[in-house]
Amino acid sequence: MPQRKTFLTALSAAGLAMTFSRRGDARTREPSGAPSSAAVPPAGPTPRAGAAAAGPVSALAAATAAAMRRFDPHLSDADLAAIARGIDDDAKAAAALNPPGRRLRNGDEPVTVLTVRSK
Amino acid sequence: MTHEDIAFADVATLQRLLTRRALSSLELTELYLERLERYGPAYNALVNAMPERARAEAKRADRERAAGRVRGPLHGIPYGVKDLLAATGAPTTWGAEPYREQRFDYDATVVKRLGAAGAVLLGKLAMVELAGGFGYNDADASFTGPGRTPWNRDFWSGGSSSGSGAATAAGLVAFAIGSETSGSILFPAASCGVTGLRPTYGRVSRHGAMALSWTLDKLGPLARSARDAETVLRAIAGSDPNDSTAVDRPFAGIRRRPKVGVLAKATEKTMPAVKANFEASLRVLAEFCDVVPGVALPELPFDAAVGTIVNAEGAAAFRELIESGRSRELRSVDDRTGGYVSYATLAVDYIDAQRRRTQMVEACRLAFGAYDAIASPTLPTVALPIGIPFDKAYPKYPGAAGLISAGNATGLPALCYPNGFGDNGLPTGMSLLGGAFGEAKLSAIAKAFQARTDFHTRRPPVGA
Repeated sequence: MPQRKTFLTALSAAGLAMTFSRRGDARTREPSGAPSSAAVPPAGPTPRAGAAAAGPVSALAAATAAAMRRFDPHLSDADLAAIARGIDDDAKAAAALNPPGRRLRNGDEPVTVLTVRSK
Repeated sequence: MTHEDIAFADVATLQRLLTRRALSSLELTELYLERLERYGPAYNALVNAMPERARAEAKRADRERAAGRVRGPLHGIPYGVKDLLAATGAPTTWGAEPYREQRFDYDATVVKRLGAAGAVLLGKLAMVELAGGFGYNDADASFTGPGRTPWNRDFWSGGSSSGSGAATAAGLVAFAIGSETSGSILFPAASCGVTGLRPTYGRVSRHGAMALSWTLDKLGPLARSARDAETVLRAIAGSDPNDSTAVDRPFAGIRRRPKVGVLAKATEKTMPAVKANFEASLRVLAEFCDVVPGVALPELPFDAAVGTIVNAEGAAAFRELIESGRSRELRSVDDRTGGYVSYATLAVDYIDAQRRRTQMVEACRLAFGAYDAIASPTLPTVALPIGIPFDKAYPKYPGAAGLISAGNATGLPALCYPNGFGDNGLPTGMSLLGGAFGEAKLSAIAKAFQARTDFHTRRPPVGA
């Protein structure tokens, strides 16, 4: 389990102000492709993508996770590690939404669109 | 009939008993209240019984019946709701410790409609905290404890409508209301051996229901049979000024031999019993349907889309909880941190997921439009064991089988019914995915299946 030092290092490397805007960097390092079975949504019975997976987390995910201490200062290092892993895993799963070779085009609209009513 | 026979009777049978005055609604309500109290804790199925409200509603139903007024097939029939529906007279806890004392001073539209149909609200049924939106990874994810299936209490009743499934299966209510964002009606229906009907998105108003994901959430029945499920759905369906997504649409049945497609590779990664029961079920369907094998699911990222949408919308829905730091009060260790993960979902990923859904709706319409239903096993396994993380429980059968993500991403209806038994005496389930607002077609097929089989009438060893 990563130690607090890991997160402090990550924070200094990435910078809190950049954590959200640069999260895409972490994603581009991950292989893309079809979603794995582990990408089944959390509203079902299956855990988050790769929730049990070990291995290092990206610096950006670690920094983003560390930023969550502003909401709960009692989050432990293990908690932050779990959050960081979750962020990386979700980014990996989300990469399947727009994979190379099958990119969404400019005109592809979302299902949710504004409905204007006159009255 | 014994009390046990009455407790497990379907709605139509109960209505006949009430019509013949063999039983009053109040007597039926007392029977179920007693069973909820006696057996509910064994399955962690009950949050709060509502005896005063139930007795008042039952007495009203009996008075009206005596005066010659019967509102319909649910008149005087007792039921329970998943504890994410607002109802006066009890807390609405959303299954989560931070909301344990939460109360609303109004009834959800579904509760109002069932009341208008003459049904009797018995109480609030257990659920996975926040309907599972924070990524729980084991059955112990509610302040009421892990839901237990009445078929084998060492195994989970499924989620997130855990109590709705268990209480219906154990004869503690005549039927129950659950909700589904992605699997939360179908999963407990399969795990508990009952019939669950996930309506088309927009068929049923969500007003007064906890929001997890505004573009995915649906409410629907868990019942003893497809006939009961359709009866309940008809009572709760329709437009609602308090929910702009709810619409009035007819229930169109089938006037010819149904055509059922079978999802390609549906049994590739399932337990042997799930596979065997599914194949046997297809033979039953072939008696009255044209069964077409090998219907492929369009190759689109259904799982990723639904997961991203639940994360983003769930983080928004529970933003106050997340930012307050009170996630730490949640039961599941994974849920205590999961909200923060969701909070970090990129806006562009969320929008891309919604853009993919446009393609998914059209692709599924083209792929499935020629069929009245697409059949698949509901789950690759029987119910999950309690005390083992989900991802460790059945490592040979990873992930969800079939059509749960695709059906929820596209807003299509699905009906799950029991089709046999497998390991550890646990039931297996089969699902039918339908076209938009095609619930009556699904029900017609399932009713014909249940007329030829008896899995839906089997009783678990309640009290054993």
